[in-house]
This record gives sequence, C-alpha cells and structure tokens, in this order.
Amino acid sequence: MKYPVYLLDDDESVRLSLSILLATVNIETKLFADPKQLLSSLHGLGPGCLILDIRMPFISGLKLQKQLVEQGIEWPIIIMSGHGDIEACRRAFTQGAIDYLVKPIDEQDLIDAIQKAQVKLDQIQQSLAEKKEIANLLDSLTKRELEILKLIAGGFTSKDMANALEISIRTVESHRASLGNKLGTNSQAELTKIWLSFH
Amino acid sequence: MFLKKSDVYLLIYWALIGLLVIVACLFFQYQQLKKDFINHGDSLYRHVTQLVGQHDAHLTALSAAALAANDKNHDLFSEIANSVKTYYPRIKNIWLVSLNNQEQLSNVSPDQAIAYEINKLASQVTNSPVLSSFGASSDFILIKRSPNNKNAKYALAITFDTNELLDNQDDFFIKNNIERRLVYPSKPIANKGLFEFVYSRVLPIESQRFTLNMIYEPKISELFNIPVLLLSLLLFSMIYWLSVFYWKTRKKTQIALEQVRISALESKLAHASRVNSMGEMASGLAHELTQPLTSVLALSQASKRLLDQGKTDQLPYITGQIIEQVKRGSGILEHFRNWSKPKSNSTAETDLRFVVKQAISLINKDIKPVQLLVDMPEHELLVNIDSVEIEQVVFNLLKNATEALHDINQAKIKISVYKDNSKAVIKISDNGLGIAKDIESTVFAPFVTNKPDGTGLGLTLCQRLVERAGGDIKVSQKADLGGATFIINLPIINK
Repeated sequence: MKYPVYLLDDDESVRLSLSILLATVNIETKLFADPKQLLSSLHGLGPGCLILDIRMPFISGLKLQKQLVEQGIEWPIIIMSGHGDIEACRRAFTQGAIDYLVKPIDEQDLIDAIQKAQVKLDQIQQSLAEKKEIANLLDSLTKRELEILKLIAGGFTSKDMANALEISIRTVESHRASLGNKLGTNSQAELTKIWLSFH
Repeated sequence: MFLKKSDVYLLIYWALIGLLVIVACLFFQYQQLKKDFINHGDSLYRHVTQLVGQHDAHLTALSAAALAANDKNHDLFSEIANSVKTYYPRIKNIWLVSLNNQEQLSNVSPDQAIAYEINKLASQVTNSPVLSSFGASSDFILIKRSPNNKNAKYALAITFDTNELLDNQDDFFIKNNIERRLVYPSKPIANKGLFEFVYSRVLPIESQRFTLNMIYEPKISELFNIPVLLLSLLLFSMIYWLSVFYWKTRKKTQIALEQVRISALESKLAHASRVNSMGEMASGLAHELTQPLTSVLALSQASKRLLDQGKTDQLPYITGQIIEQVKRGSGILEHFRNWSKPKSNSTAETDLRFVVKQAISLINKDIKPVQLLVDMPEHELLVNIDSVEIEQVVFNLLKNATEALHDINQAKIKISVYKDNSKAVIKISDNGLGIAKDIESTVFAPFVTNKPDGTGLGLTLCQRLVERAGGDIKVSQKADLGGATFIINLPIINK
C-alpha cells in the first residue's frame, strides 16, 4: 500500500492492536492519541488515509471530520464507532466519509475500507498532478493568449472575439493556433475544460 | 409501655367523665329520694284518709245514739263514745252539747266555755260537719248537728290529735326527720329549693278538708349512694380503659401495617434504583466492552495472519496482550454484576476517592466531548457506605451533568472530593444552564424531570441512597462553573 494510515483513537490498546493487525498486511500506521496532536502534525504529513474514532475528548470525531474538510483536506476519512448509531453514520457519510466501521472491527472490513482509501488517494494524487501540469501549461501562455482562452471557454466566435478585443480576426486566429499548440489541443470542448478546471 | 407521658390527656378525660358519672349517680339518687318520698307520702295519705274517714262514721253512729236516747240519760251515747275513745285513742274527747240549752248533759258535756264554742261553731254546720282547730296546733274538733236541720237538738263534737293520725309506724318519716302535718284551713306549701321536697295534698274527705303537708330535706350525704356510686365508677372505668386499650392496640397495628407498607415501598424503590441505574449503566458498559473486544479481535486476526506467514516472534507479545484485554473486559463485567445484585451489598469502611474514581471510569467513555476536571485529596477519606450505591449516585450525577451539557461549547464538569470538618464532601459542578429557580426546590421530588423520556426518579433515588448512608445531598446556591452544582455530604468515620 502506498499511502500511510493515520489512526486516531484515545484507547491505547485499540491503537496498538489495530496497528499490529495492519502491519501484517504491510500497511504503515501512524498513531495519534488525541485530535490536537493530529491537527498540529497535519502540515508535516503526506497524503494518507485518516481513521478517526467518533468519541474523543474535546471534540467528537465527526466535528473533527468537518474541520478537516473545511481546511481543504481531501484525504479519505474512515469513521470508527462503538455504537451502531444511524444518525452518526448518516452524518459521517454526508460529511464525505468513505466508510463507517462499527467496533469490534473485522480485519477484512478494515482492509477493504483502506483499499478504497488507497484508490481514492491515487485519484487525488493523479488529479493533483494533472492540475499541476495544466498550471504549468497555462503559465506558458501569454496574457493575450489567456484572454482568448477565456473567451473560447465563454463560447465566443473568432469574429466576436476580434470585436471584443478590437483586434483583427487574423490575429485572433493566430493566438488560437499558438495556444492550441501549447496546450496540445484545438478542440473547443477540451479548451473550455482546461480553462474551467483552473477557474 | 401501655401509657406514655403524652397520654396524660387520657387520664384527664377519664377523671372528667368519671366526675360526670358521679354527678349522674347523684342526680339519679336525688330522683330516687324524691320518688321514695312521694311513695311514702302517698301511702301516708291513704292511711290518713282512711282514718279520717272513720270520723264521719263515728259521728253518724253517735248522732243516732244521741237521738235515740231517752232524754236525760245518754247512756248509749256514752257507751259508744267510750268505746270509740278506747279503740281510737287519737280521739280524745267526744261531747254532746244541747243546742237550745234544754238539757243538762252532764256526763257527756264539756265545760261551759267549750260548750259555748261548740254551740257557736254548730251554727256554721251546713251539709258537712265543721272542722276547726282546737287548742294545740295538732288538735282538731269536728262538730256535727244532730239532726242536721234547723231544728237540730244537739251538736256532736269529737276532738282528735292529728299527730297521732300521722303516726303510721313508717320508719321512713322518722329516719329522715320529715315534718308532717295535717293542716286546716288549707295552706299549701311550695318548696323553696332543690333540697326541699314538699308533699302537699288535700284529703278527699268532704267533712275534713285537711291538707297533708310534708317537708323532706334530704341531707347532701344521702345523695351519695356509695354502692351504686362505686359500681358505676368501676363499670365506667372498666369500659373506658378497655376502650383505650383496644384503640391503642388498633393504632399500634395500623402503625405496624403502615411500616410494613413503607418498608415494602422502600424495597421497591431500592430495586427500582438498581434497575434504573442498570439501564443507565448498560450503555456505559457497552462502550466499555467495545474497546477490549476491538483489541482482542484485531490481535487475534493479526496472530492468524502472522502464523500463516510463518512470522512467529511477535506472537508471545500479542497473545499476552489478548489475555490482558480479556481480563480488562471481565473486570468491567464484574463491576456490572455488582451493580445488578438484587439485595443490597454490605456497608463497609470505604475510601471515598476509590468510589468516585470507579464512577468516573464508568462514565469516561460517555462524556466525550466534555472536559472532566477531577480534584481529589492526597490522603484517604474513609466513610461507612455501600460503595456500589454511592458509586451509582456519583455516576448518576455525572451522567445528568453530561446530558445537561449536550449543546454547550467547551463543556466542563468538575468533581471535587474533600474533607470539611467531620464531613466528607463530593461536589459536582458543570458549566451548563443550571437549575431553574422555580424547580430548584422540587428537583429531588419523584417524577420531576425535564427529559422527554425521563422517569424523574434519578435524583430521588440518589437522595434516598445518600440518606441511607447517613448523609445528605443538595443543590448548592453557588454555581462554581456557572451551571448546576450538587453537593453530597457523608459522615466521616472517626478513628
């Protein structure tokens, strides 16, 4: 498994036993005893799967989940609970959890959930990489080319663009070709997509 | 003790009613005396009437004798007169008086003065003879004309002593000093007071309209008929004290029955308390057990995998951990079992800090995300309690606090244990909304609750359990953290 698991539970034996179990399937775990510890370490951590116990001092697992989401952390979150509380479960999923596991947790359920998390993390990484690439590409565009790209995304014809920018159609066509080259596509749909993914 | 100091009023009532009984007896005796008097009076009346009636008969006989006499010699008359006087000793004199002074009736006539009086009185005779007093107050003379018309030749007179008439050998009058008198002319008397009985009745004899007057003045001591009095008092006292005894016994039975009823209710309440807290505890227990079970499952599944992989060096450690976690779980179950025992556990010398810690451990899993501040003393704090019961109380209060803090930010509960003079104190405060002033006084009353599904029994049971341990529980006026504060006082064991 590529990405580590960040496990937050205030019971020492639970932390220990789960980490031992995950180790037998080569899943690396990083253990946290309370939310404050986790939140303060976040910056130094690479992308990983978060497993949070629902009941903890100072802040419930669900509230923590909300905070992480608000902070823009897109890492997959699995919620653990000693209850089978439907309401808590609903809330967990509405806030974007990828799974809700009821203790005592069976190894297969845990591994499957982490597997899902790994896939999601891959997707996230990939889209991040893609975004970065696009960012680079867009960086290579001139100011004028950016303007044109914006108008293409707005559905303007070359003629309209020429009028709007008070330049000749030919100039517009020329910029279009140039940016098409840089971005690797001439399709309006694709160009619109590229523009939208950044704005 | 059958009688207590407070039963003085029973004695007072007995005395008062006894007095009434005595008065009733006296009254009854009074009536008795009156009746007696009247009976004897009537008896005398009849007797006197009979005797007085005889006078008329005598006069008739004598009159006949007088008229039948051959002028000078009234031998028959004297003979009859003597006979009458002999057999009727009350009749003192029998005289014959000539009305027109035609005859000299020496042997049957009184002296001149008397004869003159008799003459005078004779003129008053009408249908009936004339009665008049004669000399001494008890002497009377009865005069008849013979024959009884305006041509009467003679006047017949008999004198008699009414005192002798009244003497009828009846002890009653002598014993009671009763004044009796035959009075003529009529002079009825009225009684002058309660203690003067009067008998005043006119004889039914036309010729001698005496009034029989009697006055009976009973002595006060006569009202006291000792045997009747004693018997009544005895009877009354027996009835009274038997009633009191019966009533007291019934009351005792009622109190005993009430006690039994209350004991039964108390047992029910204690049981309800246990059942109630068992329910509360069950969710805590479920929580408690999840953690060790989670660990055991994870560790066991890890062991299996490691065995499959042939990696055995971690196994001893892992197995050890499994064992530890199972023991942890069984400890929790043991705790729960203590709570659910139907009979009360024994009261024993206990360190209060331990009890409070146990309660906290039970609630710990439940009270996130609440911050729990614990303040305990360094030294032990010994109290004589049933540790399970007091643990229930503390658990209950903590649970109430966490529920009250449900929507509060930065929720805090503070539990302090400390010694205050001869009391061990447990103080539980929260920073919730506190207890509203208007329900503060009823907070411990049964069936008072602000929870939609609450039984309202929690605090009532807490109070009962604390009081059973010889302590008390109350809401403190000072809210340490701004919310509600409960204070439990328990007596410290003196060493």
